[in-house]
Amino acid sequence: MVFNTGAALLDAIVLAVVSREPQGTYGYKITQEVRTAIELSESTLYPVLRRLQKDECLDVYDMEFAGRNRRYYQVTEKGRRQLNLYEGEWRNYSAKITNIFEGGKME
Amino acid sequence: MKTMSRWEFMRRLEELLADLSPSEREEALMYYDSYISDSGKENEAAVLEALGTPEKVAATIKEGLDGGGGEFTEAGFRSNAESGGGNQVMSYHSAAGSGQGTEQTAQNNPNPGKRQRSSGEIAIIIILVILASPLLIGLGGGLLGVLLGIAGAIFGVAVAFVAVFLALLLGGFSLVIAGFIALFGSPLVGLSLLSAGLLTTGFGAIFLAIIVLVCGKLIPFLWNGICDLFRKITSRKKGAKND
Repeated sequence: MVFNTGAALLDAIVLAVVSREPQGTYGYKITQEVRTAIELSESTLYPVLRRLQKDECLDVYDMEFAGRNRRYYQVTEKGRRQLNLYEGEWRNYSAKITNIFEGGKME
Repeated sequence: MKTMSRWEFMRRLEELLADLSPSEREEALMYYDSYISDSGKENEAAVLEALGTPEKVAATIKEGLDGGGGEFTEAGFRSNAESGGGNQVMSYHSAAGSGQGTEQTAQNNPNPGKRQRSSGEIAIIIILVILASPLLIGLGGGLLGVLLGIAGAIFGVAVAFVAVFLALLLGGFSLVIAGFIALFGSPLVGLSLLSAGLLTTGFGAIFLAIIVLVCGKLIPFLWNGICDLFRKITSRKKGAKND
């Protein structure tokens, strides 16, 4: 990938992915879904999830699955607000960039 | 490198996380244990390979823990921890330089690639200087030889000049003396011998003047030039070795 994904954008992508599952989702699935959008090493997401959890943007709970405990992540109210903020910023930012790209073509 | 088994991976990761608080360690170990389980039995080897070495995973976990402050900045801790492998994107620009060696040591030093490279560079410089030293010495020796040759030639010319001067002087004097003696027998012969003697002595005096000029001006000038050149060469060689 040509463009670097900054920490804020990665946070936003993770929050968006987790928020799509109201019942919560787990690390492996989050990683695979984030990887559909950006190239990302398999071990990159743990610190991000852990930090978002500490920032109270994500909630965790353990539920039994196939005879073992699986940790599920859910977006908190704070996380949802944070995600809204990111989404607004992203729309603004990407619209400006697109405008420059396409405006440049017209002239 | 052959991928380790799941059990080896988890055990090594646990060792590497020994300095974390028990809750942090448990959290991380549980996450990765679940991660590998969730990838499915048939994908286990692939996911272990994709995760990278336990050292790299542990480094990422730790960087996440103490990378606190800059959560929402562009250059997050991730790009530091991930600079070892080939399939990460966060470190797209920084991955190019630091190769595989980073992975093994990444756990203790957040940015080991730089250090290794700079010491490597120093080693290369030293090796280059050592390899080049015969050339430098050869070049210096060659130059010295040329300078000595020039000095020898000048010396030879100077000796020739002195010899010519002495010959002219002696010849002139003997002609003058012979002229005086002949003056009593045959005045014409004596006078011509006398004039030839004086002429020869005059030529000798001109040669003396040339010799004095060469010795007084040209030789010191050349000598200083040679000394300067030699000093420049030696000081440059020293400089190169100290670098």
